This record gives sequence, structure tokens and C-alpha cells, in this order.
Amino acid sequence: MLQLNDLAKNFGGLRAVDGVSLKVSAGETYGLLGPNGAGKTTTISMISGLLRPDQGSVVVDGQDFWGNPARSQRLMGVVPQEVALYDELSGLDNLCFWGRLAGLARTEVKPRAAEVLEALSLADRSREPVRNYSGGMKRRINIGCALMHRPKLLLLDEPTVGIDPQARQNILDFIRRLARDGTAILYTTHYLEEAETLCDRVGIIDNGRLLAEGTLAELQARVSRTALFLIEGRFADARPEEWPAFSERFTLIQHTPRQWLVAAREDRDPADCLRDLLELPVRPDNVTLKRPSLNDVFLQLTGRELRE
Amino acid sequence: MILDLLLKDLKRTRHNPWPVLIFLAVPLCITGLLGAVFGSLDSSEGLGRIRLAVVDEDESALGGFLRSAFSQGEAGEHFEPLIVERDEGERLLRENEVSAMLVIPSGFTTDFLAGAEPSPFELVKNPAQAFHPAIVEELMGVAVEGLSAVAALLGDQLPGWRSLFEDAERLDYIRLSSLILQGGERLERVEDFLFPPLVGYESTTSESAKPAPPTVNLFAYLLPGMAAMFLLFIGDGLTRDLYKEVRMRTLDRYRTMRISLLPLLLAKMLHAFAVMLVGALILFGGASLIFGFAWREPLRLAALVAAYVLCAAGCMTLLAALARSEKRADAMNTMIVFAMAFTGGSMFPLNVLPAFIQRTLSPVMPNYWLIRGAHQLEQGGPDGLVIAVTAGLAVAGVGLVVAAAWRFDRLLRKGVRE
Repeated sequence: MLQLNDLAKNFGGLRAVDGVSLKVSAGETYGLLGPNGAGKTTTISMISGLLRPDQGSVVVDGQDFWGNPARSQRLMGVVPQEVALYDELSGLDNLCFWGRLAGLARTEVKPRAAEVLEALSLADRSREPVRNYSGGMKRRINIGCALMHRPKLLLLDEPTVGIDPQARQNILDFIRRLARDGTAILYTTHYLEEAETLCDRVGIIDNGRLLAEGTLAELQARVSRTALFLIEGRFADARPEEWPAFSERFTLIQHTPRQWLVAAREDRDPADCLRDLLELPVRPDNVTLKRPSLNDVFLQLTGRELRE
Repeated sequence: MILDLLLKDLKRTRHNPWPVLIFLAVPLCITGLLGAVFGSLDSSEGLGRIRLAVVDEDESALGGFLRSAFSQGEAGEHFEPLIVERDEGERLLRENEVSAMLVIPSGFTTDFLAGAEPSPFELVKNPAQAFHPAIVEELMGVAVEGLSAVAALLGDQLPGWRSLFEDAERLDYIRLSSLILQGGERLERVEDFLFPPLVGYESTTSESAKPAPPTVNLFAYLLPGMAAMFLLFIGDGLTRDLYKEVRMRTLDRYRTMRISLLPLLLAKMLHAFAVMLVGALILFGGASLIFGFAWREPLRLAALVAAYVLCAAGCMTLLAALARSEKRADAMNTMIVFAMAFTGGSMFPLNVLPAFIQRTLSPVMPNYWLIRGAHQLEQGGPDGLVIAVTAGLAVAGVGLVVAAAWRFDRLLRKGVRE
């Protein structure tokens, strides 16, 4: 449904997006994970027509976006990062207006708005001005406005920023239902949990470059096929590069004077790995075994945590 | 789609009318202010009755005749004499309640009928009023001339009249009728000179001559300029909604659905146009209704004003597009509107502006053309100019909004965000 080929965008001397290529198929949820300023919104802006790429192409349903922008825009729904609604108007009026703008017929727009409101559990508040809504309700209407014309491709730019966990869960459940119904979804986020629990595939982006992509399992496997070892102790004077046995068997993903995060290089029994680690010339206070997370992947790829 | 965009803005206005009401309150206040200051100068309204304090220190029949002359017949329609003592008359003058104080001096009748030079009337004018005291002065001049003429004509009969008035308590009607008869005979002898006078005139109206120029109404003269300026301010306030759309990110959402900004800007301009039209109706129609002023060509004026509003809305839309950011629009647009108002002749009459402004800047200002067209209509000038101005303003309005769409599109592509 969506294909990006070597997409790039410069703002003056800053290369905001640098050669991003990815594909999103119908019914698939693709998560673009990266910290603030990584290039996620610029990528979405180029896909939706807000910005023209300096390089590369955006292909929507087999056709270049700029070859027929109106067609591409009709196929996609865009949920911007900020709540883009008219506060003075009711939720229903907002849905109807954006539905009309997306090309729905006058007779079609109200029944469709009622459907969307029902799906978003907002039918009972539909006639109240949006300014009276909670943050979570505004976010849901914000998504609803992009869904009025039943898009085949949905671009969601951090749609859950700044809302409570319950409201976030409701939105994520709603997006899962959309994907089940066959909508292709490109979902940008900097929340690891969202990418891990919602997305079929995840692309990790930083400084405008797509560093890695794949399913959660594939990305975890890049860090370690078994598990990670979180070792706590006093490591200020430790020199792991001087221990050949350690470098052959392990990768030091993160190290601080009080904590190391270590991955086994090969697919080994965790018990064997633990035994090797305890033989090192340092005295750990505690060792924890854990599955690699997307944050660990990001850490391995960039040398810093996604949360920083 | 333009209709949907326009309806959306009208709905937003309906749900939150205060900004627009404030915009409209300004012209309402200005109409009231202008009408209160200049409305009373409407030529159709007339001068109103002149209040005149009369102090009769003579207290004789002739004094009574003069006093009653101001309150009877046609004079009674124009004058409101208040018979008072001198102190009261002076107080009324000080408090601006009368236009003048006329004092009939003591012994005036006796001296007049004796043929001696009578004590002069004393006329004290109110310096706080311009026209009314001058009218009283002129009329008193006429009255004095009349009394002098009577004295000259009836000179030898005056003692008879004097003795008649001296016994005013018991008037001798036989003597009175005899004196009137003698006076009448004397008037008959000079009838040929008085009716008609020796020198006369015949009033004719030449068919080929131009009709007299209509009187200039100050309200009608000033209002188009002031209205033009306030309509520009209303347009400025409304078209800045573009930046609100940028701030609310609704413009970005719009652009994910439509590439062309032209429909959006056209709808914004139409919304501004609609509200400005209401403002214009308040200014021009309100003047007519509230102050009883009749525009000479109301329909053609309405067309001219509508064309101006279209042009001003386009102009303000372009200005909003040129501003690059909401903050800059806040600072820059107000100054530009003031400059347009000044150079276009909204603040001062065009003929007092420096010559180079009149030649170079004024003719490119839309308010200049509204003022010129409106004055032309009020003075009954040629039709061609007003039609050309109306058409020109309307075409310019549409052209300006197209330019605004192009400019705003470029700005957004460069990433204007606030």
C-alpha cells in the first residue's frame, strides 16, 4: 500500500530525513520508532504531501504520490501529532466537516460520522463543543476525522502523546481493529511499549536514518539470540577490553560505573553464560536475566537509550 | 468545497461570536459618534427654534408689540422668546440656554413717538453659539430699519400716537381708529413706491443652466473615509484567522486532503467579506436609519461598498499571507492599515495630503476609490467613474486573493508554523 524509496529532506544545512526506505502492506501496522527529532514527523509530512521530498519517492497503492496527489490523498487518512480540530465546533461537526473535505457526499457524511463516533465510544458527547472534551476524547476525535472516508492507508503521527494510560489503551485497541479490517497503518511513536505491543514490524529511526527494521523478534535477535544480562556492581576500574575471553563471548551493550548490560554473542545456554560472567575479575552485586527490548536494540544501534 | 469551508467558518462564528461582535461594535460606535457630531448639520433638518431672552425695561405698548412680534405668526415657528428680567437673561446666556438677549431700553416708546432719537436696543449675543446669534442680529437690524422708516413716514402723527399710549389704561378707540385711518391714507399715497417697490426682480429658471450643486453634507462627506478604514481593520482581524488555522494545525490537516490552498483562502475571504458587509451595512445603513440621512444613490452606493469590501477582504488576505507569521501579522498589519487609511484619504481629506502622496500612493489604495466614488455619487457626478471604480475594486479583490493563495502556499512549503 505504501512504499518509500530513498526518501530525503533537507532544511537548510540540516538533513532531517536521510534515505529512508520502507514498505507497509494492507492490514499491517508498521511502527516508526525514534526519539524526538529523529525525522518521524518529517517522513509523515512527505508521505502526506505537506512537504515535497528533496530526494526519493513516495508510492501509494502503486502510484507515485506527486504523479496524482489528489488520488493518493483520497486513499490515505492522516492523524497529525497535535490535535487538529476546531474547538468551537462539536465532535460531530468536526467529523462532518473533515468528511466533506475528504470527499464524502452530503448524504453520506452524517451516517458515517455516527458510525465513527460509535466506534470511538463518543456518541453520547457528539454534540458538545470539542473544547469541553478531555485530552483523550480530543485525541479520539482527532483520529476519527482521518477515518471518515475509510482510508486504505492510515498515517498516525504519535497519536497518544499526553494522554492517560486508559485513553491510550482505548486508542491502541481501536487501531488494532482497523488493522484487522485491512487498513495499512504507519504509526510513529517514541513509546517503546506501543511499538512492541501494537506493531507488526518496527523501523528504528534516528537522525533521519532508518537504522534497522523488522519484526520485534527480528530486532531482538540483532541484540541477542538468548537473553541479556544486567550486571550491577562497582565497575569504575574495570577494563573489559583487556579480557579476551569476555570480548570473544559477549558484547557490552551499555556500561556505567554501577551497571553493565551484556549480550551473549552466540546462541548459548544462559546458565553457561552466567557462569562465564561470574568468573570475570569483577565482583557483581546482582545479575538479572532479561529479554532484549526495543530500547536495547536502540541502545545497541545508537549507543544511547531511546528515553534519553 | 468552498461552501463547506465557508459554512465551517460561519458555524465557528456562531458558536463563538464575541470576536466578530467586537469587530462590528467598532463601526457601530463610530457611526454613532459621527452622527452625534455631524448629524445635526444635515441641511434637511433646518436650524430649529432660536431661543431668545427679551428684557423689556420700557414696559410700554410698543415694547409689548416688539415682544409679541417674536412669538406670533411665522416668527413664532423660528423663535422662542423668553420674557425675563435682565439678571435672569444674563444667567440664561451664561448657561448657554439662549442664543441672545434683547434689551428694550426704558423710555424707548416715549422717545420714539416724540420723534427724538430713542435709546438703542441692546443685543447681547451668546459667544458659545455660531449661527443663531448672528441670525438674531440680522433680524434686529431689519427691525430697526423698519422702525426708522415708520418714524420717517408718520412723523407728524407720532404725537397723536404718543398721547394715545400715555393713557394706555383706558384706550380711546375712536382716536385710535382715526390715527389708523390717517396712517392708512398716508400709506396709500406711497403705495406705488411700496407695492410694488420701485426696483423689483423677476425669478426665472434657465432650462439649459446646470442645476445648482447639491449642498454638501458633512456626515456623508466624512463617513466613507472612516468606514473604509474600519472595514480594513475588520478585514485584518478576520483574515488573521489563517494564522489561527496554522496554530491549530487544522491547516496542515487541510493540506493532507487538498493540495491547493485557493479554496481555503477564497472561503476565508468570503467569510471576511460577509462580516465586513454587515459592518458596512451598520455604517452606511445605520447612518441612514438612525440619523435620518438619505443617501442620494443608495443602490449604486451599496454596489460600490460591496466591491470595496471584496477588494479590502482580498487585500487583507494577501497581507495576512505576506506576514509570514502570526506575531509579525499582529505588529505589521495594524501599521499597514493605518498607512493605507492615511494615504487613501480616510483620516484626512485627500487635498490636504502632500502632493506626491496624492499622485503616487493614494490612487493604489482601495479606500481612496471608495471615498472618491461615494463623493461622486453624493455630488451627482458622472456615472462612468462610479461604474469603473465598482468593477475595478471587485476584480482587484479576486486577483488579490489568488495572489494570497500563491504566496501562502510558498510560505507553508517553507514551513511556516506560527
